[in-house]
Amino acid sequence: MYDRHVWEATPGKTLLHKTDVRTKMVLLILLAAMVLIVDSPRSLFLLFCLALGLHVVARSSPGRWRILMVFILFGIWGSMTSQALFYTREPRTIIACLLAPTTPGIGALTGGVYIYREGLEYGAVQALRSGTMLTLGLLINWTSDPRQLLRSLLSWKLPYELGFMLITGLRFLPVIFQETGVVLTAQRLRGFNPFRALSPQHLIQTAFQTLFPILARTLRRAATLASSVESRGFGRETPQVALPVWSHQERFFCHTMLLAVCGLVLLKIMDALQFNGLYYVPSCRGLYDLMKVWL
Amino acid sequence: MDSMIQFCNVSFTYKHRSTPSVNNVSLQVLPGEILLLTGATGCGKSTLLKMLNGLIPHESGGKLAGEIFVNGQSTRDFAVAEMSRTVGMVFQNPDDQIFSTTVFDEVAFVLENMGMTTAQIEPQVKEALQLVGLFDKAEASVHALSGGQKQRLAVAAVLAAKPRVLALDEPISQLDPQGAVELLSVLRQLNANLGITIIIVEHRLHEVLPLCHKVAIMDAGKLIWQGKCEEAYGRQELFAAYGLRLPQPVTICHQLGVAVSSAKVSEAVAAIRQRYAVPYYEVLAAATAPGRPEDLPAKLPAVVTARSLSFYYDNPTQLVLKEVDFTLFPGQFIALMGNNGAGKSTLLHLIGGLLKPAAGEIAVLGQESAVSPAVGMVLQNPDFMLFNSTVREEIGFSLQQQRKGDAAGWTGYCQLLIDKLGLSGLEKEFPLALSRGQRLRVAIAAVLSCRPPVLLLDEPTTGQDIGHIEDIALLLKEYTRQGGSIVFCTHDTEVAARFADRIVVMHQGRIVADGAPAAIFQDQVMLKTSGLKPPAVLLTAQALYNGTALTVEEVVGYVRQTCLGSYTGENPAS
Repeated sequence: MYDRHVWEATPGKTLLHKTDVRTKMVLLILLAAMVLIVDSPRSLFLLFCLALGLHVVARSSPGRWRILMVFILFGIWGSMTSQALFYTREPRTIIACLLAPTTPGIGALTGGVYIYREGLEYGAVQALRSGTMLTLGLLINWTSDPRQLLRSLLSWKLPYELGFMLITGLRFLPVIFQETGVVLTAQRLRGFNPFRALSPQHLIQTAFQTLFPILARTLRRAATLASSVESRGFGRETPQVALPVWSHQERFFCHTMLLAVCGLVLLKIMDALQFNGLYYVPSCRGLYDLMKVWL
Repeated sequence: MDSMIQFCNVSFTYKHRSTPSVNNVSLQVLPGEILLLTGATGCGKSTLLKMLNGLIPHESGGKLAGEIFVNGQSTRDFAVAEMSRTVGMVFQNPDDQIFSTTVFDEVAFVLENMGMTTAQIEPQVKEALQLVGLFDKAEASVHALSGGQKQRLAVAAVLAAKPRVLALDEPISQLDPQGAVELLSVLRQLNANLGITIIIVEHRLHEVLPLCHKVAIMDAGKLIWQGKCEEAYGRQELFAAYGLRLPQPVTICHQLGVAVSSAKVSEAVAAIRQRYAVPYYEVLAAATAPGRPEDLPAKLPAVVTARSLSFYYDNPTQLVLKEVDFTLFPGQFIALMGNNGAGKSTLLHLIGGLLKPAAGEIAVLGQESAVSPAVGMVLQNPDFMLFNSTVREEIGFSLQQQRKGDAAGWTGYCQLLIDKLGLSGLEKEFPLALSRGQRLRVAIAAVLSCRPPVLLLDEPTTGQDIGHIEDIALLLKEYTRQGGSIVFCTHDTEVAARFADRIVVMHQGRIVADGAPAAIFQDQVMLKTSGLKPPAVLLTAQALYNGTALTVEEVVGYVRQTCLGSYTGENPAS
């Protein structure tokens, strides 16, 4: 049968499993900030490789690598395709023409459909950004106890309802993927052909028909989980349980990372000021050169 | 003695509903008692259970009238978190309630919420795991547990708080026989050794009843009857009227007009012997035996043929099916049995064409198996099969896809299914808003409407009361008489023995037995290896007259015919 556990957190003895949930969440937030700050494709690629490297450290199973690759490749494909076709900034270089403007009817209507080199590059950069965040998000999901995640969120003053909702979402995301497969199977068994007619009305109806059973089951499941955790004393009034001691090394690591991100922000500001001719520090020329390549 | 639990004129109406789900219920449970709360699906028993720890009304909204006291505390005055120290609540599906990644963490959760320190938590977690027999699994992943172990973990997860009351909502409905036995054994020990008061909501009362001291029956939100188990054994008609299944030895005694105060086979046999001088088995009983494979039209070509079928999911070294040979003939009604993980569902999926074999071959109606209208399949969870807006659309859907029937795919046979499956009046309802029993029947009707030559059902009896099971089984039997062939997975040996022509038992990916129910249930060694138990009626027949009967009617018929010389099928007591 379908292995739904490939989606869910599993215990392990790797460094990533042992690392405090708070450290992992800080890492996620700071790396997300980094990929937003950095524009250089090569730096983004390195950050992306770093995120993948963490999966190696966590000894993610082949099934998980498959999931990761599918998501990343779809992300890259979607991002690059859309940007290649719809890139609007200038300059832009046409590298292929899919539909000439001279094509009768549709050609004049669209003004031609082209593939732009800059669009492809920009799409790749965006895909690296989203891929890095996705990779880290899945890493945390697969290596962290949902209970600890929830406690961390609550200890950071996230409202109880929001925290529980987030964790329930994470907890059920894998199940929803699995159950979508079951619903599609059930539909196939009953001779359902979702693409029999491609009218918008039919497609909307198809989407609803697929979503109905998944939504109904998910709601029932979420209600049971909520009842179960509340029946075990968890809730708004629960005394705040002391989280495991956040080790000095991990705290130090988080602070260092935070400083690094702050440093990056400063450098980015310097670079922007210099680029716009507002402020330039001649003694930092080497630094400007580095920033040009890596930021 | 003071009550541990007391419901005083309790009524509850959910938000946005006009009629109460629980209506003026008064009930008392003494400390150390085990109460079975039962009734048809949707009768309000789970709602009543949720009142015990204050989930209702604190977390549900709605309107509560009356008072509920647990251990002298009014549930109105205490938050759910506080009540969790007194009442441990366990739900139906262990997968839906487990929240952590390791067994230890799951059990520690409730203690952490009580504000305990790590040093205090550890011994209590270990004690709870010891009580449910999972001590050696403390560091295991929750995903590595079987269904029965997961449900025992769910019990341990509330037991760690040392509650005075355990409330369990259909705890064995999702478990295979082995898992159910494990859990019930744990509950028995907790009650006997720790004096924990237990309330169980369950349909499978023939399995749970022997464990309990008291029974309460609910219907349409009202408490219809409550009493001791011994009294319940004398109220066969009442239980039957609400679609509830008493243990078979009790039913036999009742039909023979013999009073019995226990569900044990030995006591039932002793009670019958006091009244009837039952001779040992002769040819007579054979005349009452149900249909057997040799009676069936096996000369017709097989509809499903599997040869040396092997299958694995991810790892070629972990075969889920190992060289399985299987044949299904027209008109056969086969029960596929075995513990979870035996390969039953995989075999169904291969027949249905949803999976392709790793080795061997499988043909349906002479063609290589593939998803086609020739094979209909009802999945274990009917919810995944219901995706239309009304019951009528749902049942007509497949025919409409095949451009049969009227514009909505509706035929006279659809209407017949509606009538036979008790769905009349629900045609315009939203299928997913129906009760679980109704949803399953809609799913079956939706598949049957196309009249597939081969029908596969994956555990259609799960969570159903006996009334619904009988309705479904009788419809399916009729379908096989019309030439349809059916394979259904089930853990319910009583249903399999009563309705199936042939039983196929699977164990660790292999078919370990294939034959008539009487022959299958005689093979004690095979049954034990496969984690199955013979139906209680067979044990009664064996003890009473060395018989092989598989239905209550057979035993009653034999006793009457041999002792009274009459086989009228009427109750001599009536």
